[in-house]
Amino acid sequence: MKGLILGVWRWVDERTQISRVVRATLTEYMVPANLNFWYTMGSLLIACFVIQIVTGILLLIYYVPETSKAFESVKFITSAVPFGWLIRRLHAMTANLFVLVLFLHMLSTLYMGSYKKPREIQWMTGVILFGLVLTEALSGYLLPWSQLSYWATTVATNAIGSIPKIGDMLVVWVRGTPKVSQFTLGRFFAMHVSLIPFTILMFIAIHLLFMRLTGISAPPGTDKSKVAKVPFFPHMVSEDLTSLFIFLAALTLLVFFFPQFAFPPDALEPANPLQTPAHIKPEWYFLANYQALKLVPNEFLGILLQLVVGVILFFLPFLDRSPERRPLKRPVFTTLVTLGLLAYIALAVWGHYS
Amino acid sequence: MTTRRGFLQRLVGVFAGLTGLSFLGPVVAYLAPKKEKGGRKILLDPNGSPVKADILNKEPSVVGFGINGEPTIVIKYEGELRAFSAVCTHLGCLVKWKPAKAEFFCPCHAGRFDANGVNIAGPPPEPLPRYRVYVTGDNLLGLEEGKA
Amino acid sequence: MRGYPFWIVFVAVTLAAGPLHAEVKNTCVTCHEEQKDEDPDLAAPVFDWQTSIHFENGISCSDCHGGNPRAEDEDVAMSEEAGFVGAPDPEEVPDFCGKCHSAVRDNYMQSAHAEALLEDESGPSCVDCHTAHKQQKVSLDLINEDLCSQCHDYDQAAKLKEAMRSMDQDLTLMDHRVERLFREGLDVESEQKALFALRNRAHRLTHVLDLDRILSELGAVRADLGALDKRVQEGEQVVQNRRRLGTVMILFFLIGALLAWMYHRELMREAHESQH
Repeated sequence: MKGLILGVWRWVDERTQISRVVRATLTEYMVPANLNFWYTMGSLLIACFVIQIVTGILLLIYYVPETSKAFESVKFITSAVPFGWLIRRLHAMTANLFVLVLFLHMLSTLYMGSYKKPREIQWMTGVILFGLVLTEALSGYLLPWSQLSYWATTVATNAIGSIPKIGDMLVVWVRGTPKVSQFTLGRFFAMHVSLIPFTILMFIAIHLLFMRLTGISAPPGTDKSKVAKVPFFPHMVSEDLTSLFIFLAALTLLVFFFPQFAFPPDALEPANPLQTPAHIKPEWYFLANYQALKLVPNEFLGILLQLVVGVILFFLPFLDRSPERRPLKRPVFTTLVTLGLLAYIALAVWGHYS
Repeated sequence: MTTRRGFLQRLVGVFAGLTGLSFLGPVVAYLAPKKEKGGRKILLDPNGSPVKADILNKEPSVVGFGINGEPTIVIKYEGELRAFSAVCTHLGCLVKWKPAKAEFFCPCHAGRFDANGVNIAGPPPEPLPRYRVYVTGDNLLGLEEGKA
Repeated sequence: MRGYPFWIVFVAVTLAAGPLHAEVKNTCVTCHEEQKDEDPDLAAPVFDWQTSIHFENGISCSDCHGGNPRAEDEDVAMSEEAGFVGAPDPEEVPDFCGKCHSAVRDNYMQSAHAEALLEDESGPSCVDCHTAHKQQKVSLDLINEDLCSQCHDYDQAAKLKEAMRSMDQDLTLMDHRVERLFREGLDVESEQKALFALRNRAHRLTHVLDLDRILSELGAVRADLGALDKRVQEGEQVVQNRRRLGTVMILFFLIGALLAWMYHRELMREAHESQH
């Protein structure tokens, strides 16, 4: 019996080269032994993506993308389908953690200077992924057709209207109708469940491919050619697993004990296009942008400013070309990033309490 | 004698496996098919509203959803109500009642059943399952499992 | 619309809708107000009304007294054609207020207060307790010794107040529990509706003012509240079970994290040793 299984395995392996691929990408793929905790954020993000795809497909089974039925269908999932509440909460809460871990991933890259030559393409695909994930989060927001969905989408899509000349037209194009309606739901639904996830998947593939091609960076201040190397599997996978378990514990804590974080009261009321709720605020990761828009007197200028920040971030590897990666040896950059981060947090807190 | 490394490796493997399994439970429950709701079993039209029994005073037969959502045909034959599964036992097309010949006819492969649901011609291998049928107090068509 | 996005305009209009009522020119208000020096009695209702809950909710003179608040001429404004009814006689008051507060009127009409009012105008009508123009949001404090003992012993009224107070307390407590389940995402629509109906039943009774009847009705409400309590308890059990499951899962993942970390440390130690 054992011989037969072994024989079948040899036959398959000879034709698919699985064992060679496993050796090349896992057991004999050598990485610096001094990779720290921050290097596990990438695998956490892949875990987030997988959780979102799985829970998303499960939600799709019962969800109905039609304005008169969407809220009811979501309510059916959470109250009538076994564990439907868990699947929905996981999906909504992981969306939040997805953005949070993405922030940490990018911040560590900024501080450690890992975006520098030869990893410019990885950084740029990363910035694109960041934008895609935010768009994915925003488009998913409308689908339950709750008060929060409807008004948050109304406000968010309105921001586009401040672009001179073509703004009003663009808003109608994004919404499909002058006001948020069934046509908006249709567009956002298609974006959320197919266009953006597939695009994200493609960019993840490119992102990972280039990471493997250029090799992972060693922490700043260490010479990659001189530090000791360990195999990716199991040495680094066990570290990834440690982070993953901590992540799952945090996710479970939020899902089981703080569902209100993802579902404030307005999310529990069906959308009413004739009644704006009293405290309509965007999600925490858009709060800083929201507050910045309120502070800048001209709305278009506000959007332009944020666009400029985005473009600078995207082209960062070409603006900052010195090979130095240690945070303390490049005080100007480190100070700028820290100030930017503090300003972002301050704006978000301000936006929350304003 | 296992090494410390081997022991830990096995433990971590078990935990990773259990984590996967712990997700599987809720997913299976989530996907579990819906059970038939209890309560009255009456013939329903495609919109889910009950079929009125007096339609059989005008029409020789009526088709609707019966027990477990099974397409069911009710006929009035010699003044008596009879109910059968409308699903042909050959390949699942729906049979029609031909009052002139007192036969059920399947349009897909020309299978024929008599007024008792017994297969009399064509490919069908078995008779049509029969149900007990009665007119309820509120003029609907009640159905019960089992022969009339 | 550019520069003022749709939703800002929308919010502004919605918010303005209430106060706007008061800002539209109202000749009843302006004309009566002007007479505050010559004939303070004619002006007083305006100032009283401006402190009332009716004012807050945009209910104005003509909503109760009829007449035409747009007309400049007082004869037109307070003409019969404009539906002006003026101040009601005491026995007409229940029907006057009952135009809107019909359920309360029906309950009041069964009370000893109404009986005495219709017999010889000795019983109190709506305005004797709620005032004619400065009505505030209702509260059980309206039943108090000063007011009640003007006509009769406070004893009965005190018992009634206590019964209503304890009922209100129970209803409020249940309201909080149902609200908590709602926030948890449970489907409590039927519970919310049942509680709303119970609250109405309990509150409408107030004006019957028949202690025995109120106590027996409150008993019935309380029994239904008990049935509701069972359903809410089931919901609370569901929440409790979820928390238990969550706790187990969190512990499980934390142990997993610890083991993976120990395994990782062991691997790194071995790798380090093998290099030396």
